[in-house]
Amino acid sequence: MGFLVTSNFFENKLNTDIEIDFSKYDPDTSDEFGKKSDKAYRAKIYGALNKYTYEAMYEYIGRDYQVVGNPIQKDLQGLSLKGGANWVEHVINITLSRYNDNVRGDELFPRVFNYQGVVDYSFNKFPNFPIGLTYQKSIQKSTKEPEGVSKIHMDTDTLSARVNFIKDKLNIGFVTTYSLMNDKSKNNADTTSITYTLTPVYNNEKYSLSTSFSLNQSKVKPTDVRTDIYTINADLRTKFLNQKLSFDVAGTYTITKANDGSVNTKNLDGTVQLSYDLAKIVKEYIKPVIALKATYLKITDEVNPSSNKDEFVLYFVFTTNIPFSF
Amino acid sequence: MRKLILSFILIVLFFIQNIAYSAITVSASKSNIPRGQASVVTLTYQFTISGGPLSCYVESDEGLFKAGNEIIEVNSKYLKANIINNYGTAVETLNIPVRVLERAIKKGYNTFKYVRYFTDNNSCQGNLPGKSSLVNFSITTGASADFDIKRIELYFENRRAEITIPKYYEGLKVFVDIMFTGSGLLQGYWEVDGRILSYVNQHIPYGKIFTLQIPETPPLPTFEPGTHIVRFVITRPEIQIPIPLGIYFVTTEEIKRILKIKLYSPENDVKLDFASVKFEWEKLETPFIYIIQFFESEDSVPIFSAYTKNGSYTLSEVILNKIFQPNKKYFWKVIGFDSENNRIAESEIRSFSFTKTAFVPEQIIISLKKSNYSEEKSISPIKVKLFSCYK
Repeated sequence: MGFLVTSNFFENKLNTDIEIDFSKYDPDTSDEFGKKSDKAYRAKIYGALNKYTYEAMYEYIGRDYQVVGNPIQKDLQGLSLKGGANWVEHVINITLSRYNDNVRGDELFPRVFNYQGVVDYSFNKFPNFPIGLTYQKSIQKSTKEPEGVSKIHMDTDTLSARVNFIKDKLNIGFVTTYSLMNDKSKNNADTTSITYTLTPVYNNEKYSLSTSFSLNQSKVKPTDVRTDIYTINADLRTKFLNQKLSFDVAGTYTITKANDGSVNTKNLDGTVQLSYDLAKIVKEYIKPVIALKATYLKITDEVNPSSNKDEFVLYFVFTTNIPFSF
Repeated sequence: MRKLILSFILIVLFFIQNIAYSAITVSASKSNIPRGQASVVTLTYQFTISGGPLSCYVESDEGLFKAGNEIIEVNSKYLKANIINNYGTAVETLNIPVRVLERAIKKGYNTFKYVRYFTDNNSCQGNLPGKSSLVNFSITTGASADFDIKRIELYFENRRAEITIPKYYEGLKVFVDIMFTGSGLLQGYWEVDGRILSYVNQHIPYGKIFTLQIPETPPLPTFEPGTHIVRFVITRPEIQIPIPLGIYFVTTEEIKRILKIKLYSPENDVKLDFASVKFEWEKLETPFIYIIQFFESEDSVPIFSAYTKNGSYTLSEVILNKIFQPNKKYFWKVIGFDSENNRIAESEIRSFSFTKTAFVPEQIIISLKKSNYSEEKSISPIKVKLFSCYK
């Protein structure tokens, strides 16, 4: 059961949401424990003032609060603040939040605080050359650890940069993200991740070509294993003969390598299709299409050659719509 | 006597060797379990037995959950391991129900253990050492639990896991909501019909449900009519829950691709004289007719629209004076339609404003002789006369 009260003053300049919900839930009806009651509530104030937006929210989700079929992260309370400014050429959004778990302060468990800040900036002075930067910092710290429970202290930094070059029907995007999860506890289980993605896309009246080239690197400090994944994607769509004949290709080539030699695979997977639209020849509403389709899969596993595959399949395909009603 | 001592030493060495090389070890995929949630843990048992036959087996009828020394739950799942060449392994997928956690907490513990007793039914000739395995678990909160995926929900832009789209549909969006405990590096990949589309490496600190959207490039293939299956496969952390599927059905009916119309003039964000102005754009091969629309804001309804078959439109002074005003910003864009009246092309949206203020509808232009004009702030006689008339 829940109640929600919303208000809107001064043409969206000041909005408020206040919600409170109650639940009774038994996660296991076969045991001796019965239903547990709990509540969740939030109060939010937000609005837009010309070029500026703001939002402040406090929320509490009880330890035993549960909604059947729509689960949410429970045992959480905290405050988040958001602010944004849109000066057309410069757009900036800032989010700050502080949450903690163990809302009832149970002495058997620690309480973990999570502080997070996100700054996102876009520079749009040159419409053909939009640039964006995002930085996110997250700090997790535990307090009141009971005896025998290890401390948690984890910092996560994520820096992402994006740039596009747009010229007529060409759009080249480049995104790179660096992320470090620094485990400052005695486990020292640090992980790092770097991603580079280049996405050249060309759209024409008669054909379109979408490609992407990416490198995903991840490193796990305790094992000192670095894994590199190279991915090349292509998606080509073309039309001939007054839009009746189509030639389409979609394929992916990946290389996965680990520096300890545990993984070394190459994978090529693709589909090619030549199809002809018969809609003008037979009844149009059933939209029949005939196609010649080929799929190719090649897996080369240097570590485990028994997984190697080399498959080619050719199909003749007839598809149609058969509309019916009852 | 010396023979007796030698025999005794050999027997002792034999037992020491057995003790040194015989063991049951067990490793758990996770040991910090969040309270209030059922968990699945993979246990890997390893048996090393010295002496006895090369092949035998060990078995366990049940596992016991214990808080302190008290049994709080019995897992009556049978487990058997074949020992070949004195070595054997067994894997158990252990379900830890919420009641185990609640019973331990009720007794004042934030830990519990899982014990199994093994027997070889003399098949290993009594060489099974220790005969029991033990795994310790800690009960904790969601944030301090081991990094684990508890729930995955995949859906399309209609908030359902299935959608029907026309052929060549562009920009199909797929989302995945991930509910998790702990914090860590999430690794996985988007896959369509078994083909990998893109990899994901993302650090996720504990907090709210994490939502991931499929990248726009490469696009989901929509050129093949029929059923397609899209998944987000998680490779790290190891998960014991099934990976959900999203099914999209592509019909043979084609969506008309929206082509981009390039605008030529006027440039974006220019200031124009308040006079007749010509708007020009790229004339494409296919569109049959264009509509040019003018707006007061980017997301409002058009204040004026006009149809043309050409690659330009001239805003006449009549329309200008009737609908537009100087010193006000306007937006414009062009949409192209084919002969069947389908929208097939669209331009970006541009803005402009008029600057000339000399002629303003519903206002009066006054022409004064220099002799009648006063630099001072006092009102000249002609102005007074005009105000009187207006009243």
